[in-house]
Amino acid sequence: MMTSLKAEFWREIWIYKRYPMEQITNLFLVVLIFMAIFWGGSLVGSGIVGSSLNSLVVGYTLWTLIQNTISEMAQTVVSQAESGIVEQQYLMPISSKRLFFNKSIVNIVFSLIQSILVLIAVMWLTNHWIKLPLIVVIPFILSLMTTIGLGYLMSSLVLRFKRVGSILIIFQYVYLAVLLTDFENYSIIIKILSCLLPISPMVSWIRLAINSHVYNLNFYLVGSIFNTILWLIIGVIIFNLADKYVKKNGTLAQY
Amino acid sequence: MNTLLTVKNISKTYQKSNVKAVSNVSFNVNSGDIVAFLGSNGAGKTTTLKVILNLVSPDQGKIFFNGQDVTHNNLLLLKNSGTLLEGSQNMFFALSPIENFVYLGGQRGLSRKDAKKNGLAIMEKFNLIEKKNTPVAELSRGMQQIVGVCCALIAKPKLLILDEPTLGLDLNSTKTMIKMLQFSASKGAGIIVTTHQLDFAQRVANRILLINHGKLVLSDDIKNRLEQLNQQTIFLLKLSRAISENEKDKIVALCKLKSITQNNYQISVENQKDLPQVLKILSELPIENLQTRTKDLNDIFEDYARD
Repeated sequence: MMTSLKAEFWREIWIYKRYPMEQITNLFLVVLIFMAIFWGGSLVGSGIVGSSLNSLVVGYTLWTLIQNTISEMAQTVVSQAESGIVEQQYLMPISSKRLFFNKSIVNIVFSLIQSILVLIAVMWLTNHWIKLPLIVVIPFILSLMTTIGLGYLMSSLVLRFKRVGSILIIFQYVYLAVLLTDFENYSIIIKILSCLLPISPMVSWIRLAINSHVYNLNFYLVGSIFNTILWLIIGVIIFNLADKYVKKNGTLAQY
Repeated sequence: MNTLLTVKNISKTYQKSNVKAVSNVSFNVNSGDIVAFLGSNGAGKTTTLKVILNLVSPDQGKIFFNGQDVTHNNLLLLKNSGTLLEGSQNMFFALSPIENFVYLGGQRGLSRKDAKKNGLAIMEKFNLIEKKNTPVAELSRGMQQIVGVCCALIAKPKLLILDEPTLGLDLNSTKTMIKMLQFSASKGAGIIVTTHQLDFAQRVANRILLINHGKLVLSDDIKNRLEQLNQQTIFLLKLSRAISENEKDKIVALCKLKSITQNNYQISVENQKDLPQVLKILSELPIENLQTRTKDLNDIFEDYARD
């Protein structure tokens, strides 16, 4: 099991080494987009300062992390389905679930490194250094675990429908909407319902903690754990259905 | 020889196209066997292989590996098999052969060191060692095929499934491939090879499976089948004139006569006891050219794979 995960890490490292320019420009682009939002906000209104900047930096970093993890996962499966190597990977003596789990872990680690670099770059460029309370580690880790479920979901869509470029774009905006909506300020019913949306309670929790607001720790802890389990289960169920579908119809190699 | 793989009554219909790709196919592969799995394009070879590998689920039938049912949970089979699929990329084209060995070997539980060692040892046999660090995308079609075979063999599998392994290979590489497959079989591996190159199949395989329109129409030992076919002696004659009616009567009393083109004939002597008499008749004919013909896998293929 470990050699399989290690092999997946090595593959990613070799790709990074072989195409370094792609990775550097990608990082540069993410930082540039943030700075465009930041300077745009400064020009149009009274500027993004204080707690709103904290929220923006954290929200944007989380968005790039989730976006990178899930989209990268889907893009990897798309390109591997396109080239036909996904079929060969199905012939490895690990289950397809384990195979995609390993891919998710590798994607998360690499996206995390990229997001940390983005966070540091953004804080340096805005000269606004955020003090992250230790508690945010919990919602952050739970968010990452949820992305594994979302990764399964995206992989399932690729396996089932093959070309999902537009769906990926729609999902990008869904994450963005979830990250920008401050459900923590809504009524308790909306707050409870928002726990059904992927990573929503974790984002609210991180925002409340960073801005040093008073909040119900138990609610966010239970809501976040529930959210993680829910999306992991949904991801695995949908993945199993897609897996059965491609095997029944012999469409694994088709693109 | 123990039975490695048992394919029992498998059938598969692709529902979208309503095509019955495989119908009630059964066969065994023993350790040490090299099985040539032959058939025309679309006959059902690749679907059968994909059902064995659980890339396509069968409508009915079962697959057993070492006596264990692996139809729907085939990790045991995958742990012990190496595969090269035709029409798929069997490795990462952006990576070098050595990186592919580490990745695919790692997925099979090999350490980096062992994966490199095993992969490079096979590459060396194909004289391709100097390409070990070149991205696969930059290699020729034949070289890519060799790297694919190296990847399939990397964990020294008990069962080897190779779909069109000689595609793009030159003569020397094909010879090396034959040696390697025979060496693996001598060490107890069971091998299934699909190919359209019948001379390669005849040289490498000891058994033949022939599939036509999804049905297995022949499963036999190649040597036995060819011996049976070659029990009759076949002469190809070129005469300076046509055979007369009188000569024809004498010949057909002892053997089969078939006119091929003008003044060209094929004579098949089924009973070897009649051979001296047939030769005596032939000596009286105005022969310009005489050849004996040995039947080979092409003849078997033509007999069984025609519509």
